[in-house]
Amino acid sequence: MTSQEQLDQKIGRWLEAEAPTQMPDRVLLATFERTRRSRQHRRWPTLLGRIQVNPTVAPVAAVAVVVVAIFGLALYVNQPGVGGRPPTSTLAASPSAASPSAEPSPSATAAPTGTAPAILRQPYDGLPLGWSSDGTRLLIQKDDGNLFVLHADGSETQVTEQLSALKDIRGSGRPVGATISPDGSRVVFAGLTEGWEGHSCHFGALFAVDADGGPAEVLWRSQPPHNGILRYPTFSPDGTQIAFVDDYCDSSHNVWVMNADGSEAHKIVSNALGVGHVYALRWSAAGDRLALSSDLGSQTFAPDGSDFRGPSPRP
Amino acid sequence: MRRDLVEAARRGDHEAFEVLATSVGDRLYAVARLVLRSSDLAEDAVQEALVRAWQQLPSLRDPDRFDAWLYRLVVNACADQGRQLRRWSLEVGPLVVERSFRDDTESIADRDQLERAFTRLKPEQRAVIVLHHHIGFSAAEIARILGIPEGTARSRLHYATEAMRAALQADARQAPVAEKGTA
Repeated sequence: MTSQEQLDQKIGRWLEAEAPTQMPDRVLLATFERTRRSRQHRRWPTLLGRIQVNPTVAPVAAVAVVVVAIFGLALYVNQPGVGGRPPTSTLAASPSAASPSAEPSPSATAAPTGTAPAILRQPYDGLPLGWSSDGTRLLIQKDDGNLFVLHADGSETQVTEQLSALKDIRGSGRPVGATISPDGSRVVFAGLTEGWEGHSCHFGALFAVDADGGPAEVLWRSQPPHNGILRYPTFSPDGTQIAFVDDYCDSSHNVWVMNADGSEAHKIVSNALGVGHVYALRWSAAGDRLALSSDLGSQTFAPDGSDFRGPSPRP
Repeated sequence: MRRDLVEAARRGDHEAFEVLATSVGDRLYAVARLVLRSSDLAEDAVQEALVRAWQQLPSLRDPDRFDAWLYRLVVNACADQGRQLRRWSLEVGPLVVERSFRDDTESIADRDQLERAFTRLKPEQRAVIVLHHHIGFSAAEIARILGIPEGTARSRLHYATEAMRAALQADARQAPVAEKGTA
């Protein structure tokens, strides 16, 4: 056997030994949750060459397009302010408003807490992460991982742009959890930073960014060896605090709370909630409890970590 | 039957896609984990690859190429993960050590040497090593999977293997020197 063949065999045996035998179920669960919300990219007919047009469907589709275009034009002409009619809703009067509705629905005005303006009931692609308390802004994460704020007037603001918006923060990756402040002015998200040499974890940070866009700033950095990756930041209902989870290399987790400006971060539930990932962290509407969901089960506790209920964390 | 599942998934049948994804998930995860050397990153890479697979399935011309196409998606996702966390660079130091010592054919010293040699490779070199030595694809098949010329695949595989050989030999030469230093 040649030395090349010996090396090839050595590499093959080593890879075989190193390769995991099974992928954690959570990967498929998370994947299917995203793909169920995601549309497939269909090929559209073009004017050049490679066309996939069903000869039966194409004429019908063409007629449909024309009908929709005429309908849309009619709606536009009849909009308040366009056809000479005065605006009749708060949102339609806004300079940035572009409501497609000729007659604003009652919910298009400043909505009571929890009621979405009609404009936000249209479909969108992404994972919803939270509303502002007046229901006029919705934070979502699209399939490319970036965060967007959807506004009541139908516009959207891209809040993150992967690395390009965070060039000065090395290595930040796809946000793992994000939250919008109750007043809708700020977004805080968790991201990865540089690798932690010699360990399988990475450093992480919480980043804050204006919900109308702009540069992100680091709010709080993980502090190895106390924690590594940070996840699922969530604003308290009064907007004064942020709770979040940290993630050790060994799948143990702690829950932290800090002031909304990143100060006075402290651990409230400590030491190894046990096995696997954390999936969600939420404040109660009254702000008097937090709920956490993990592979171990669901737990609730007071914001100071007391009155813990649910499967017990390991000591 | 697999072709039928792919055809159904291409038409938007999510259940068919779930069956396909479940059948290939472990293999994709093994590739990603070997390339990225991190469970967290590998999980993210596989998830991204499968989401893209769902989204881009209608553009897959040949359903029989589904598995090979998935390997390309996961390799690209690994590349994206690597770019997000550190620049593709020869200066990248040894990464994580998430190991599973299931086989004691190699000595501990050999495994350490292979680990160090492997992590010194660029991630795109690691990918061809894994596709060739672990999955068993030829250079021609790797070229088709990655969408690169066959000559490029051959040279990348050659240089990756040679880089591992050089690293192994360098480690072997260093060991006697270290012993002298501690004497």
